[in-house]
Amino acid sequence: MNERLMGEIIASMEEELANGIKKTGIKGNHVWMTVEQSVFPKIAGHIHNSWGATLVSMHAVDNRFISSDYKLCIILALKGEDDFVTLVTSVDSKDTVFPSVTPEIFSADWYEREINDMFGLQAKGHPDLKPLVLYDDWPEGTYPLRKDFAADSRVLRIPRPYNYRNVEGEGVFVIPVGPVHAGVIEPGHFRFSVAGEPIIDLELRLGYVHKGIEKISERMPYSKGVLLAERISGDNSFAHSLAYCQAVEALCNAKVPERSRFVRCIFSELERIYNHLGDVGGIALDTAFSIGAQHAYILRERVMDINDLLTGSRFLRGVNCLGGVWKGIDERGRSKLIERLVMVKLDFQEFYDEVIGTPSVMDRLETTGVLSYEAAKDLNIVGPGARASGIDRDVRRDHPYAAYRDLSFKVPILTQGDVNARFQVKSEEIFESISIIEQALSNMPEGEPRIDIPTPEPGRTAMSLVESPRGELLHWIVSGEGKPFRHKIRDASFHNWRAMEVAVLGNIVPDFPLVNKSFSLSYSGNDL
Amino acid sequence: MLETIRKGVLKKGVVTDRYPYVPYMPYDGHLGMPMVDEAKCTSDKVCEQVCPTTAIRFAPGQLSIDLGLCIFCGECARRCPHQAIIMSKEFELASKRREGLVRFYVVQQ
Ligand code: SF4
Repeated sequence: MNERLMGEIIASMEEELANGIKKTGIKGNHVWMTVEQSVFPKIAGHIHNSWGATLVSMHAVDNRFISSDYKLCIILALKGEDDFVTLVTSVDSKDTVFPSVTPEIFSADWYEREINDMFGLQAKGHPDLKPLVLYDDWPEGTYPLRKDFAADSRVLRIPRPYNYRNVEGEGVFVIPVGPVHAGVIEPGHFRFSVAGEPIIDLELRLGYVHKGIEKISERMPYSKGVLLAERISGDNSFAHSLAYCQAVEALCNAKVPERSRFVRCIFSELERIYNHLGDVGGIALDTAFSIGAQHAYILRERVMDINDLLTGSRFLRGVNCLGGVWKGIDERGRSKLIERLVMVKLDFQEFYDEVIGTPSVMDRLETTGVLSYEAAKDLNIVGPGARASGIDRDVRRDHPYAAYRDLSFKVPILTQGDVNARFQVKSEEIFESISIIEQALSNMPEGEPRIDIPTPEPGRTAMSLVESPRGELLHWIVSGEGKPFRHKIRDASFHNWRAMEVAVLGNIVPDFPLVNKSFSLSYSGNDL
Repeated sequence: MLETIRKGVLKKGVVTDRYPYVPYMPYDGHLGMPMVDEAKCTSDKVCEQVCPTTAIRFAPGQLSIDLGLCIFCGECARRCPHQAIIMSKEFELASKRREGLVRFYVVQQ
């Protein structure tokens, strides 16, 4: 199957591009191509445009101590198939420049800025290669993900100015917001330019909580890496640890017990339910519909309480482990869970009816923060935000993992792309998730929840995609001696933050929190 | 207004607890403070190795757990071959001094 596919892909290229391919290989549903640097952007662009592929990730690996160069990878997911193409090229260790992919694939923009920050590899032809994830006072010429940068080294902080986009004109005002916000939320700086009421430009500045997780992970044995992954983004703990575990299991070709696959689905969906409940509650709160919001929060609390009862952790930590799950679901937990879900379903239906039956709320939700299909596609938006703008993509269905192949569910798609559409998509997903859990509970086979897996051999590569509540997230690992040699993490928010810059245009500033809540973005997941 | 009261207070009742006036009892399996059973510990230091945050330290005849470093992951309790550490239901751990967060246990050498 894949050989044919690879043949077709190569045959569809112009001769000049096809000649630039140096080596190809197939591993599972991955097609690998090692290509010349000069045609790297063109080939990526060709597969992206002609094959309708989406950009899953672009990242670098410091291979200088092995093959004396840097490697650059692009992972593309083919449309409608459970297949991936990975393009690899090499970047010279002295002349650290490579041709930019951004002119071909717009959503490579942030990836190239990140690579510049972390590895010091410059994308030539990139429109605006300013820092993205590093702090403002991080010294130039210090690249944290290079292998010769020691993880515990202290650097001398030298403040340097950051080049914000300049919006000028008569009556244009700039409103800087953050990085410190009112309320207990994470830091991010938003720069609105307004002409009268409407926002005409928004620039984001993130990276204030960059923690160097990818670097830390390179020092963490795999078993501890699971605990690290659980803490990448607080409310997506389960999705991150699942992606990490699946990637390590793939590294050593381990097959986890059937039972654990179902348990993993159940907890993934519980995580989705409590996140979505928090989001729809937040949307209600930001329209000043406090009573509705409190109802959603009560429901969220009920779900987190059942998490606590089943696992001992409200955030579902300490469940995933390499080779399965630590905690199965026993009879008592199972009946409690079923009971609680019925209650949540009924109460949520009531909340939903209450919201859509309140004209003052709907007035705020409809036509606010519109993200068009084209914009969502170009920016490579993932998750519920994308599905509300008509992008039909869900990792659970398109690249099934855990037990999703054996469960049936609908993927709600709407096309309006406004706050209301995102509210509706999330609401429908809550109902779908409840049904998935019910199916998984009744189909769950008996047996051990976990097996011991061997330590992966060095030099292998594996990746895992998971549909977190916020959307597709990726863990990509090259194995080293008992720990990852390179661990690339890409949270859904890394793609989705950019939607804000587009969706708020033309809206008034007071609608910003509403739009923000409807995308439910993570600072911590973005600032790895 | 009446509708609101009907839907809110009357239907849902009061959902908050009276904690701290009424004590809160966590569920079984709660990941609270790790606690050492001094009699069972053989000082084989498995927990020290598996702890991701170096919260557990051994000194001759003594084991200390620094709750300021602990992330309550439960790894020490799961991996201990003698079940000498359990994740207790203790969760009221605040202290006015940093040193107050370190718990000491006397163990075999
Ligand atoms: S619970 Fe985790 S962090 Fe705390 S002492 Fe045990 S292993 Fe260390």
